[in-house]
Amino acid sequence: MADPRISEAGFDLDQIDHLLSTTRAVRKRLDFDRPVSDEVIFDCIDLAEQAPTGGNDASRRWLVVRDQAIKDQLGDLYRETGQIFTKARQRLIGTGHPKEKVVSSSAYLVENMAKAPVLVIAAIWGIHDNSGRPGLFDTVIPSAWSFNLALRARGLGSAYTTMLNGNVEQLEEILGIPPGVTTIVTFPVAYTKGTEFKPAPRRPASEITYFDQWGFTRSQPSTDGTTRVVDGQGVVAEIDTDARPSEVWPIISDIDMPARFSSEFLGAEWTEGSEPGVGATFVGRNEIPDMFAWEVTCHVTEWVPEQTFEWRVTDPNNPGAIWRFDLAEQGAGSRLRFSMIIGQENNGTVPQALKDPEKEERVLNRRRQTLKANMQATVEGVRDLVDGGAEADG
Amino acid sequence: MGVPKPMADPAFAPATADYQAIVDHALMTTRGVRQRLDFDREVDDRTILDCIDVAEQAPTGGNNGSRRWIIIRDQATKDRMAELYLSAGVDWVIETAKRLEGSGHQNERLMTGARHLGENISRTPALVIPTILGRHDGSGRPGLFDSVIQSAWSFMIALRARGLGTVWTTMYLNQAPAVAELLELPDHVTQICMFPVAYTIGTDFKPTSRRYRAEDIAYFDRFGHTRTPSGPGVVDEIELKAKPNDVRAIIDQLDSSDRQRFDLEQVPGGSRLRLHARVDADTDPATALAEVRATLDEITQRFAT
Repeated sequence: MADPRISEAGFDLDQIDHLLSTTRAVRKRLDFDRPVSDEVIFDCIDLAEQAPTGGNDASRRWLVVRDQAIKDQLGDLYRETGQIFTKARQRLIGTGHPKEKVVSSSAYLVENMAKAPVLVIAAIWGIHDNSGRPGLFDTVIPSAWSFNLALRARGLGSAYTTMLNGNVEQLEEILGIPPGVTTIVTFPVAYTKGTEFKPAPRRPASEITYFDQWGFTRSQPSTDGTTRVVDGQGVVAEIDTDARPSEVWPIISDIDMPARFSSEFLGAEWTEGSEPGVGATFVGRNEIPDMFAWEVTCHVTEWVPEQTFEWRVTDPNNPGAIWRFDLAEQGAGSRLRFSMIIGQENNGTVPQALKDPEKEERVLNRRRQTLKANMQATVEGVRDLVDGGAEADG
Repeated sequence: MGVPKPMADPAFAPATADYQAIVDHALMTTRGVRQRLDFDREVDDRTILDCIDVAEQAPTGGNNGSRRWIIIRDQATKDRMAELYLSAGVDWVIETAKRLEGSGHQNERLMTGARHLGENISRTPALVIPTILGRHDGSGRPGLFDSVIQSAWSFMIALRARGLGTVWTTMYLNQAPAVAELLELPDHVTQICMFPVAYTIGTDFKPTSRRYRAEDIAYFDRFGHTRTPSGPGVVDEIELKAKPNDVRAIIDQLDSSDRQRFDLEQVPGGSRLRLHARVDADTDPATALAEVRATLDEITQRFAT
């Protein structure tokens, strides 16, 4: 193909990926002074209606609010529910807290919702069955997202807001919505001030995509879908705790800790003269009972208190394995992620796996099953330690 | 990473005709593909991961950073997934498709496609399951699902742009616990759907014909208040357990007005009947809507007795 940007389907990937990556929640950059025609709203709804539907075909309904008195009522309702944001903004202002910007932006919308030229509410006929599965929602949310994408392509923007669902009864009364209809999202719609928006920071796909089994990662994509040493096969175990990162860090930075939960790891000691930090080394002792025991030197390659602890086994440039703890705030607590990648050499697994290409996959997966069980036991152990679950359960 | 490069070409920006036309085309022609999946053409991991990177850019609600994607490549696991897919109800779909073959029934084509997929799903180069850490709160509102369904739809569009296709399948969720066991999903993980991913045979897809145009289903300021090219109107609708033909017979007995228009549609378990009425400048829409409701109530009564 002449132009490498054009896919075989005839799409310019830069354009489609640009659309999907830059349709952001817009609040402060909504242009409240520029009118929006019904026609552009109809066009976006027609496009949105092309999204797939489940069994509930043709059941989506769209509420377009233009009347200022009704917008004001919805704005009041939104402000009532959104006080949490205006209060949080007061607390965070000038602190440089990572959430300061998004909270300030949300608070701005809370105070200005009624100024949007149009409020569009996506709704659907039907009541969710509370089955724990998407059911009804997968017939309408893709469509709502298409609407948002179609706006973006036309130089308009919006934010996917759901707070009015916290006040369903009043919402239904204001808009005359009959029983049997479920409101999904309220879009404040306006032209955007400028049309340039940047992608959001996100974890790369390779870290949140598991192959064939929950928790099995590949650091390099394979071309044929098979599991090979060369692609850097890995394992992830993660858990949410109620404790703050500052409370979890002392436990995960204790190199001896996993010995309490793992069936193979016996313990570790810092090398004499080594202070915990990048460049430090420690020796870990392992044993597969009744088979063999081994010791490995581990090199600390990342050490960011309350965030990351990474070490490489044997040779930092050609490690037998890379191990890593990542810690991040999650709600009021934290999410702990324990991950590892099997190296290309300097370990016991790879020679076994490469002995017979027919068995490469099986050897790697069996090894990962063992590692996964131990890593899972470790993160659960950490959670019990910080949340006090182990003590509480006796 | 699927993060796009900075745009050098200004014709490339949103709000330009080119950009809009391409986006509209993508949104209109990303269809559920079953019969035109190319099971014989290999798909590499990179392509799927690129689509996930793009999909991850979709908005999330409170459950930030909680989406996890499972890609099934291992043939033995795909075979087992195929068994579960059939036992989740697709075996029934296949039987129905066989029965409808050549009948010209309105669902024949859809069923034939579903049968083709059911019989071949283990041959798909990759099965992709988007999941999210968390459980739905049973509130009747999307909640948790607001943080993942947009992303799954972005994934489909990103595939389409690359010449691949898929279909949003949910019937397999009838076997969700067995799937969770097979893939070793922890308890707190919610599965959303299963995408059989392959290159498509040909890349030309047409928009679907939707039953309603935007002006039929977009209500202004109050539920049921429309703005159509012929002027403002009101609409209300009911679902009836009766077949469309039986409903049609009742409608034909009513006094008709040229200001009113009935829309009758078959839905699972019966019919959906919509009544639209034009509203004059000197008519109060609320009164007009009350009249429409009264007419529909009368029809409901006929079926109740």
